[in-house]
Amino acid sequence: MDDRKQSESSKLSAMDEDVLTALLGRELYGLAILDELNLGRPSHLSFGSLYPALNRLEKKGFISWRWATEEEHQDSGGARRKYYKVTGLGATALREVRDYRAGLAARASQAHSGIAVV
Amino acid sequence: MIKMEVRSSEGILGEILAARQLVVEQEKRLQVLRHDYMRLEQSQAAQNVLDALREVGLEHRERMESLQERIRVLEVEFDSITDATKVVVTVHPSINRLSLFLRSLPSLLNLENLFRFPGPLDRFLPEECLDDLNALCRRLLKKDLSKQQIRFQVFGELIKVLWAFHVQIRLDNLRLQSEQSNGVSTAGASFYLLWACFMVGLLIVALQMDVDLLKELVAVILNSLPQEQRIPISIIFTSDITLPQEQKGHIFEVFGFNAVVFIVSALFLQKLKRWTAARKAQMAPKHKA
Repeated sequence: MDDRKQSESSKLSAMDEDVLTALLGRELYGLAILDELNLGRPSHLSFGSLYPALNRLEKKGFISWRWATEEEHQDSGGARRKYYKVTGLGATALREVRDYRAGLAARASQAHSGIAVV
Repeated sequence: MIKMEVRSSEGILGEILAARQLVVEQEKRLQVLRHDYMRLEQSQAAQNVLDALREVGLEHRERMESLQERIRVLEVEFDSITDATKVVVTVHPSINRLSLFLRSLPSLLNLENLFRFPGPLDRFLPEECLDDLNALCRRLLKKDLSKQQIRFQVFGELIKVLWAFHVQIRLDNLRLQSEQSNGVSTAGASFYLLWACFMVGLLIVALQMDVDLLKELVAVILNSLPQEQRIPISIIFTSDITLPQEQKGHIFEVFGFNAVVFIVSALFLQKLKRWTAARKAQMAPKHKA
């Protein structure tokens, strides 16, 4: 049961993976994350997709956040800015997914070259 | 009418009410300070005067936040009390919320003040979201776009965000159990706002004819459930009655109404789509002529 729960909680959707990749090694706030994700993306993402992803990742412990300081965010409308960053757990989960994809691609290319030889 | 019940012993209740009153007063003071700040900014007052005012504003905000935190703690304490002296107070926050919303409607048209904090939307969206929308709004204002175009874009985003926080994130949180807060108080969010967002969300999806998004929404609802509840949900949709009564009741409470609204909306939108197509067909020859 615990294993199942753990595997459920470590699941990453494509959107979650994109957000983690965008945040890897740096701190960004909502609109900046969206800008990063929309660069060259075929379908445009909006805040409506971003916030649920951030909520999921935060609940799973893959990202953490802090409020921006006054120096970082001066021209606000009174609201504070939230900066997100990837936690160690998030980086590990992302690495596992990437390793899996790399392995999958390698197996596929091996199979492809095998067919070509036959 | 949905009622929200706050339970506590008499002493804690008094403390909560007093703290709430203080929060309201702090909000008013903050509003006044904000107006003063804007007025001084426009009259190009000295930077040190502005900085001093900003400091005062920040102090007020911190005080307000600590009061809100205190209220949260008291409310938890309130709920945990099981003695016989418990006092039950029934309040109808939706009435206050509605009047507040109606009073703030004119300010919704003002793009500069729409995402201010505190402002007309701070009860419906978390602070960081208001900041992001404010940044987006300012970015759009710098572009060569008409105010109507900007309003259209901004309101589109606003509706999607309301949907995300009050529907999608809540559904996600059914599955993701954690003590961390997502920024929106589930106790304070209005039931009616949730369903309004749901309906508006469906309408937008249908008007945009975005089939992928529609599929995503259905997937979100189904994926929000633990594995063992996914089968009962499909049973509800196929009207099977073999499910134990208590389990069915609980699931229907959460998702049954969702399904009814979904079906009614789908039928309505189908009709609307046909009507729009017929109207377009009627108009087409006239344009040609």
